[in-house]
Amino acid sequence: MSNEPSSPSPLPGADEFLRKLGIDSHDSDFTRLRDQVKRAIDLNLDLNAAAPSHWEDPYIEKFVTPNSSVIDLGCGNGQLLALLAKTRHAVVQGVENDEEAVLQCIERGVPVYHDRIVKALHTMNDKAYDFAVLENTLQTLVYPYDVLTEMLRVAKTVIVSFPNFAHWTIRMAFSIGGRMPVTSALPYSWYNTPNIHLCSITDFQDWMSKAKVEMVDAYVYVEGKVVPFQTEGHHHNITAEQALFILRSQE
Amino acid sequence: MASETDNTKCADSPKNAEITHKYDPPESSTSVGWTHACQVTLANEANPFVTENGEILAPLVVEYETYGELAPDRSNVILIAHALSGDAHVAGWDADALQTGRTWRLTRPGWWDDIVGPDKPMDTKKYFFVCANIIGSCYGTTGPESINPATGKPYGLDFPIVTVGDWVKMEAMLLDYLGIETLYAIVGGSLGGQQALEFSLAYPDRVKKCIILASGPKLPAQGLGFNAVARYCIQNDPQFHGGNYYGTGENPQSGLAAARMLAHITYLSGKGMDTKFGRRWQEDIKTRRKSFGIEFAVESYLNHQGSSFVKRFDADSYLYIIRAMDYYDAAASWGDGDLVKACSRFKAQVMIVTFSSDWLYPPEECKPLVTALMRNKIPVTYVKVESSYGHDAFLVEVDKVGRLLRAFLHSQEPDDSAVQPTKEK
Repeated sequence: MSNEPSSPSPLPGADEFLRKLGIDSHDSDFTRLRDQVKRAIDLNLDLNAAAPSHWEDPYIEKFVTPNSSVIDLGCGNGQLLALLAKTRHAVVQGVENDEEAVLQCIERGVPVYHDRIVKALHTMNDKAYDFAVLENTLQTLVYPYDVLTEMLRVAKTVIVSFPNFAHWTIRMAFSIGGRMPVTSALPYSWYNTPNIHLCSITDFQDWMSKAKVEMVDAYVYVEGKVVPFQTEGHHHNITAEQALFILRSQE
Repeated sequence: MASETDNTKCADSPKNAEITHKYDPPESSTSVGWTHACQVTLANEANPFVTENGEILAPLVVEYETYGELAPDRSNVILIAHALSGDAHVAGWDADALQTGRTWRLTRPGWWDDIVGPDKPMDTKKYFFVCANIIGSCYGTTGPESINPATGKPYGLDFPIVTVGDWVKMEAMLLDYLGIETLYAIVGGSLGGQQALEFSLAYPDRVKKCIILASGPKLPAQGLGFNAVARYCIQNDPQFHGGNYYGTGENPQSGLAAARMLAHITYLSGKGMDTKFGRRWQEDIKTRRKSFGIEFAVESYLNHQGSSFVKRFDADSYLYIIRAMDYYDAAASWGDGDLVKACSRFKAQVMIVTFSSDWLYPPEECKPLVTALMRNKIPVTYVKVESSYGHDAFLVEVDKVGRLLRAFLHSQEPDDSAVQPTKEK
């Protein structure tokens, strides 16, 4: 939560808030979430420790088959690709637009293409790579739809991770606090954030069905733990701070 | 986390506008010190050099320099390919400048002394560097100024047309002579970048890392146009005499100077020229404006570049070298016009560096090479450096280029399989 002064009007109760989210007292998540929400309301604090950056890496690594080819879009300093080259003997290619990050890739020995992601994708052949990765970058893209569509074209398997904009702390910050959320996962103010295209897990699933994309596997980061994403019996669109989807075109 | 929006950060501040260069003296711990060039006869009448066009060149004498120490397993060799007006004298101070009459070398070290030396980005403590003067040039390697054995006179325009392909063939012959099978790296800027690319295509098994700076797979039409004007200037100089001006006491100096002045404009950028010169007057001209003399600072700069160049360069050599630059087309040479097909030969790890304001080899003109390599599943490092120094940036942006060279040369591949991917046929 932001450091702005808290609202003078009394906050609604935690039970009411959860019921408004569709979680009632019969639900298995209810007690745990109520305690968290209560504390959050009382302390006006962001209770969730931020997911460590690159929390997705071991799950991506597990999925990448040996000797395959991987392109990482917005590869930063090349950390994930260096890992995949080492442990999976993958043929790796990074794409990164930040000059300093490009240099760090070169120092690591990670081949990197210095350009905007969408421009780089346009130059590539259909199914040129076994895997295309977009790690915690989707929300920064000017044209996320184009990038996702191009990823499905150039790679057999598409791996995307992003912060879930429907996490309960974000819902609360906006609906109760009345301000753009500033959380550990999204630590910027509205005026200086690089995150310009935020979506929820449900939003992303809507795109998946529209784009006729098959979900191969998915993980979510919930309260400090990575768990398999489940649509039934859980409220991951409320409790998950981050999500990782592994996708394939249906055709 | 990557931002997809364009990086608008401007690299240049006004204080960088005037580069007051301080040369590394020969006694400096980061200078290679005093240097001596070597010469070797790589081809003779019994065993002539056959050019790409099928012409015979014999003898072929090549001048080259080396720096650093060759590792016992010969695994640390870096070949530097020089650009249009360059030479084999890359770094350090020429100990023989007086004897050879190359007096301009008395006051300045080799052309890439900022980059090559002990502890410099291309570190002579780690690597063994070789640079050869290209065929057709005028710095010790056989060229139009050399004696044609058939006539006993300088070749002039009877010298065979040479190509970038001929230069890398000569470089491979020199490596054979030196007992070097595989290069750790080949590095070149501009025309040197074309050699780095051509070498990696012609001898894919002889090079591990290829670094191409401010260059591309072919010269765009604008560059062909500039070179056409350069030729016109030289060939229409009344002292050109059909290229046979040697020994006449005449020499197409005006034409060559004009060609060089034009070239210098192409090496800068509009913004760079504005920053460096603007519309400033020459200091000493303030009192007598309104003449056709040299009045603006930029005129003085170009005039100086032209007149100093003619003292150190041969007009016929200039014609031969820019023609090779014009003709170079990697797609035509290796892929029947298809760059993707040409690049299927490529095996080296590659770093391609372009500069945002370079209008001789603009970044966009280099992209097809990046794409062609990637379409062959060859991992590519491509960097577009923000700079207002134009084409010259590859020599002037010492800090940025130095960091890139150091990082790429020193980096260890995370895994060998990423070095040479198995290609799908």
